[in-house]
Amino acid sequence: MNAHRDVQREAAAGAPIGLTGVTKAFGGTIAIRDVSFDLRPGEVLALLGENGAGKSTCVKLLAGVYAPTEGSVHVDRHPVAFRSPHDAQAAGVAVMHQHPGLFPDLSVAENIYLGHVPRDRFGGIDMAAASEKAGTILATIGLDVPPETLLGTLRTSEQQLVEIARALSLDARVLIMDEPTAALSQREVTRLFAVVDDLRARGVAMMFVGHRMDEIFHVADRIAVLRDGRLIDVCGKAELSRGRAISMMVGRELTELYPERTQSRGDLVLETRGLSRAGAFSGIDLTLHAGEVLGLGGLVGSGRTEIARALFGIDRPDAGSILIDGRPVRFASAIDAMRARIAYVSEDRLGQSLVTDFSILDNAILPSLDRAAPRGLYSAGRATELVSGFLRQMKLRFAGYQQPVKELSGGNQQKVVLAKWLRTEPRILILDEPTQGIDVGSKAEVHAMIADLARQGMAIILISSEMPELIGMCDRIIVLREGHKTAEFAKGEASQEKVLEAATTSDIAKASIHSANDEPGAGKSGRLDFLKRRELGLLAAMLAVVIPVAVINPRMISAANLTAVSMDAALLIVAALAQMLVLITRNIDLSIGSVIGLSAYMAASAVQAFPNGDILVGLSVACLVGLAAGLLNGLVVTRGQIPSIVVTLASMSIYRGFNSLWAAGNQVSADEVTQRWLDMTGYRMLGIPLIVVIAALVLLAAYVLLYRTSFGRELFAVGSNPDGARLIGIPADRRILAAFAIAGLLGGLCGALWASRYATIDARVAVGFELTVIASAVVGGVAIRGGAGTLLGLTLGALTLLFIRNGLTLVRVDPLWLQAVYGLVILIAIGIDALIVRRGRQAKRGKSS
Amino acid sequence: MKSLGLALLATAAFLAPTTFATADECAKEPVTVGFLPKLDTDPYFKAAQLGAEEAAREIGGKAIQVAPSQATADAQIEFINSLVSQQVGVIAISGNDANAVAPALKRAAKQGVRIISYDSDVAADARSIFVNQALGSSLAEMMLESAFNLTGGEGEFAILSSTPTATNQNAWIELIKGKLAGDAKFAKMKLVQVAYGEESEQVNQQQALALVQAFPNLKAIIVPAGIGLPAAARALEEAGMIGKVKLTGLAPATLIAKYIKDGAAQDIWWNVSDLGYLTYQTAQALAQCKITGKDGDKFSAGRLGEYTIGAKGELILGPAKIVTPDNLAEFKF
Amino acid sequence: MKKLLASIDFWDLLLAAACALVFGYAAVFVPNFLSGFNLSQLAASVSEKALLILPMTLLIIVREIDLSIASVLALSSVIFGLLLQAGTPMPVAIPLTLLFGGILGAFNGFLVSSLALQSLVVTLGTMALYRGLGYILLGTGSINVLPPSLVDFGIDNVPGTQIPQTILPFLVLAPIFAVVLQKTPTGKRIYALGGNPEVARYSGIRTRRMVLGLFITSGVMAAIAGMVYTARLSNARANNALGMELDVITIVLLGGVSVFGGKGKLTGVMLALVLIAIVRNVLALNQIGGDAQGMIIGLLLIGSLLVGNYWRSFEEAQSRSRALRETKG
Repeated sequence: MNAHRDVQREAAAGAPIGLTGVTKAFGGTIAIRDVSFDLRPGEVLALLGENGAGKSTCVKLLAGVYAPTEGSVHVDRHPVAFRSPHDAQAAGVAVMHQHPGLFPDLSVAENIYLGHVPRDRFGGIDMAAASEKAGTILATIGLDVPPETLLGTLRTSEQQLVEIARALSLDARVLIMDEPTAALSQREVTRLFAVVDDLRARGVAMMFVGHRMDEIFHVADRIAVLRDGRLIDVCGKAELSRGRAISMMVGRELTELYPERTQSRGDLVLETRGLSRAGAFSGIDLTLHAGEVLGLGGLVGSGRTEIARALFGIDRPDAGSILIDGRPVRFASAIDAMRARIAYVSEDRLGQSLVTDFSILDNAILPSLDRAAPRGLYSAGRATELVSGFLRQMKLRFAGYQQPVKELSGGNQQKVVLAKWLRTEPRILILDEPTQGIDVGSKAEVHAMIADLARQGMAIILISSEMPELIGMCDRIIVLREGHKTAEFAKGEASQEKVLEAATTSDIAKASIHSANDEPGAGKSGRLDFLKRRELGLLAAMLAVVIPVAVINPRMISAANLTAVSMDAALLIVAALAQMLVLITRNIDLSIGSVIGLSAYMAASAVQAFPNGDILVGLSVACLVGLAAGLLNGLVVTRGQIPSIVVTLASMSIYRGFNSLWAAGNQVSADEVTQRWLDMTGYRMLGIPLIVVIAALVLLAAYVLLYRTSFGRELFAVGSNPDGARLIGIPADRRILAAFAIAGLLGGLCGALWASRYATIDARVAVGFELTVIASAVVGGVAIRGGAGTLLGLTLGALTLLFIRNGLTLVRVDPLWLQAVYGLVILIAIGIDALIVRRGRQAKRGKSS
Repeated sequence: MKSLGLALLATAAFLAPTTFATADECAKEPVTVGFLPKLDTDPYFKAAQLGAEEAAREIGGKAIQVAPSQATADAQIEFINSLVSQQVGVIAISGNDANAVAPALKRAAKQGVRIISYDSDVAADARSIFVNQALGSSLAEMMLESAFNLTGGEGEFAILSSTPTATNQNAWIELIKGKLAGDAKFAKMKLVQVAYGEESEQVNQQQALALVQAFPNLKAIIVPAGIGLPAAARALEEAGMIGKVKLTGLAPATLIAKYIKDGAAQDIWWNVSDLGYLTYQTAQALAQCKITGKDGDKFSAGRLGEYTIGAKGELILGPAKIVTPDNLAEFKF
Repeated sequence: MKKLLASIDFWDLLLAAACALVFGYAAVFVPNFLSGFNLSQLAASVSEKALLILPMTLLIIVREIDLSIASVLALSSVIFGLLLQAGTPMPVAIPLTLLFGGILGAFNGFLVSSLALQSLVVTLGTMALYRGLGYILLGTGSINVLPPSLVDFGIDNVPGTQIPQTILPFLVLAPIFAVVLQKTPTGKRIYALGGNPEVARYSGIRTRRMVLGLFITSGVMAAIAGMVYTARLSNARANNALGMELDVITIVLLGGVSVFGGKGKLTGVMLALVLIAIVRNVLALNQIGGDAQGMIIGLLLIGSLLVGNYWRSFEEAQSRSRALRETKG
């Protein structure tokens, strides 16, 4: 086997990809400096290093997510400049990301094939083929869910497998794996490594980033060690022992790292009895004494952090009790836990511990603000006094208390977090991965500090993925696996092997997790039901208006009335569709009413000026004006990096003002345009007004665009997870620009139809229409948060609003009630949506427990 | 900013505020007249402005016009103040809300600016003269009379107004209701609904069609709002209802010429440009103390001839006309 | 002094410079701009907007928005008018109206904080609902027979000055808001909540309660603005302040408050208020109508944000190259 591999390596001595002297800086922080290495065909290079050593930065450089500040990425020994992940993908690089760039609103198959979907004969996407191929890949890696399942319904580990499947589906010549195994079970890891062996035989160049020595020494051919952003060495697996690898990683001998502590256990301060939370952990009993360091071990996702969250009042347990000094307590929020003198240093430093834009002082004083305001007024001087002692004690290196924390290194950031929590003078301190991503020096300081605090009698819970840290620091270690406590070790009993075994070995708990997944169809049918419910609900709401109205006044469903409503609906649907395209991408277009107004006026005056070309001239002028307006919106949003709500709030006034100046009080009346132009929308085809036919065609085109082209699916992806979309090479900005442009074009078309249908056109056409348009999209279930929305829902939303207006007049309700009813309908629609989503989430939580 | 704002106000406080002419002073020369319509770039007011400019060319002085982008009293007040600051001699306003602009107008008057209203009146004590296109009661009466003639004097009819808070329209609707209740002639006519077109072609069309469906026996719709009548006509035409349900109301004659020609609708209208012309003439006469706004004051308004101010300072442009295919050419707007 | 200079940020400086520039231009070239009457009425005309920008700033800092704020103003104005019409004495009518505004705000806040709905959509709904309720309550009419003391308050200046009385509520409340936001723990918590809601939650801030509180504040402030509006126009009506929410949001955004939360100061917002008021006034004095004014304000908003963004990316590039130099040396 080895011989075979050597031969292959000789044969393909090329380097499909690598780094040459690369330095990468973020703001004031240097992530990696002067790093060079190559990947070779048919070989796995393992990247080893502590958290924050720069591994993920290397991955993102190779993946085209980042561009080097200095040095270059090379492909086949030629330097290249990846401008986006898309370029890297085109060069044959596939990446499994640590935090998957996946899209909860899309199906598993789409998540796998987004960006390279198989095409059908007409150049559209072939979802059937994609599903089939996705099924094959999923079978290879052992994920047993139908490819049509919506990703959002999967568990974390299943989503990680989808990320793996996505990278594999690219059939790339370079495969980069960034901690793919963190959330996986042993069985799943074994499966993955079998796939890796297969790819190795096929000559794919691979890079593997991971933390578990066993895995690394199992899978790697060569090992590169990074420390503090610098490449220490690259050696063959055989040349490197584990011990040596570790000491290269940390820079000195391990034994020096952990302070000697004499155990002095005090009173029992914290106890949990049968603490459970569905989907997170169950039946947890633990005790914690003053002056004790209790370790919580286990893999990521084993329930460690979730327990800490429950102890800190962030989540509420479903069952069991928490006792402090023997008295049961209930925490409604973190402030309650803080009053019980508990502090929690979160694992997610940037997401949960620090407001990165804020200063050191503002961050450090945040939980103790009241103490910095003795007479109600906050004093920066007093705040500085309060926290400076802790910061100095921890030897924080900083320019001043007003320095933003984003300019600090990881280690210094962590010191700010620790100071922040120590300032609250806790009795119980929960440390969740306190040394993750910090340099070795800081790490030792943190360890010394933990020992010191315990000596002073503080009760400490230490959560860590780093085995030596757990074993070196803790008096007792509790090991968790998939939400259950699987072992408890006293100091001296624990060894890396024992802890790892307790954290990974399959037992009964595992079976229970899998039984929940036994019915692979469950997720899918549940999700489809949800979709049906959403639209059925709308249909029901509409019928709830239509039926009683039709009973009172049968003319509601007369041909004449239905035709009239359908013609208005056609206009509203075209405009709402424009809005939907923008909303899908997590943007909004407030200027749609002004765009319709401007293009309507332009169309009408063009028809007036060129009566011979009427319809052609009118339509093309309106569409061009709309397109230009949409492009302008899109350009300012994407190039200017200004939020769309601000841009379109401004452009709404700009387009309207321009229209008003241009029109200068003129009005185009029915007499001034040609009859053909006016008849355009009303022309009947088989009894159906042309405007309705046009709207139907637009909807059909939108269906093809959104569901049958990769462009459309990418729009959903951009809104569902913008960062994820960029990560997998979707040019998000270009897609957003295109969405705005198409929205503008549709607004222009709507303007032309408006001008033809309503005949009299001045500069105030469609003032305030944007609110109706947004309302019908929202009522139709298009999510303002992006990524979700259906054409059926949109159509029903527009019809519901119009039928309400029509129906209320038909049953002779006082028109003064209209607006209030409108408002109520919007609130009810979003209320129902929220309920459905919440129920769905609860169902999911219940299912996965 | 606080300090800046205070400094700003303090500066203001110390400045002598009495550089303006007092209201008693009579202008020797034609003055500048500031026209303040309800809404920016509204075709109706643009037509009126043409008349004002024509008058300005004849007798001198200057007609300027500014207007807000929202048809609200609040927005108009800023422009009243701005016109005062520009030291115009007379402000001619078409009020978005009769009472809400009154305090600002009174304040303007204290600064020596004379106030008249046109098209849509404001509170009587806040202006000297109201130049009315036609007597309100006569407009209401003419619309009702027109509906009477179109429907043969019996049956249901509806009103499609502009916004629920439009002053003129609400006044006319009240007059129509009073007439229906008080005059035996209209006993067989029944007003079934007042709907609102919100000054939008779209809503007007939707509401016109909905009214027709809601009231199967509907004989006529009165549309006393500029853009509503042509919109309603077009909606009924498309739905094939035009002629079955008669339309009448107020609308620029040019917008509805087509329907007048084929007899589907009646329209009551006036010469809008003359309204602007007369307003300007009145303003200059007031500024030069030729009139004061008393009942019975007389003055000559150029090509329109002699005018007499009526009760409560109301000046009537003349009787509105029923637009017929024959006189259609008279109306430029 | 150095500290004082450091505390002034780039955006405030930019806005102050723009204000000074426009003011200077107008003082020299626009006749009567500097007259007491003009400046006094300029201040009076922003009385309500000035009140509304205060809570709106806080809401946008915490990543929320209140589109219904002008509708709450209108509905409070209607309620206030109806109370006065029914003969309720002023000292009773005022607290009742404030309470009512608070309830309207609380309804928004409840939907946003407890049901976790997006405030943009919620307040889009209540914007229509509240104004609609105004139409139902008051119909087509308006209430304009109001107690003389109220009418006088709406028209008169502070005796002996040109300061309109209607701006007084703002002059009293603005310092309170500024102090609360910049100088109290609550203000710091508001910024933290906007800067990163998760961090705020993990730091013991009751985020839901805070969002609810801010919406209630918004409702109460809109009620105050509603009463000021009623007084200034001596009129209570359902379509009062139609569309004012967009003006208010525009001012807040121009004032340097980011829709991504956690950034922006009341000083900047107040400067933006002054800037927009002066610009509109100068344009009106030059006989430029409302639509064109809107267009110019729109261009001003986009233009200034573009300048701000380029400035920031320039600064970031500077700090990056500085870091590279430092670590090399």
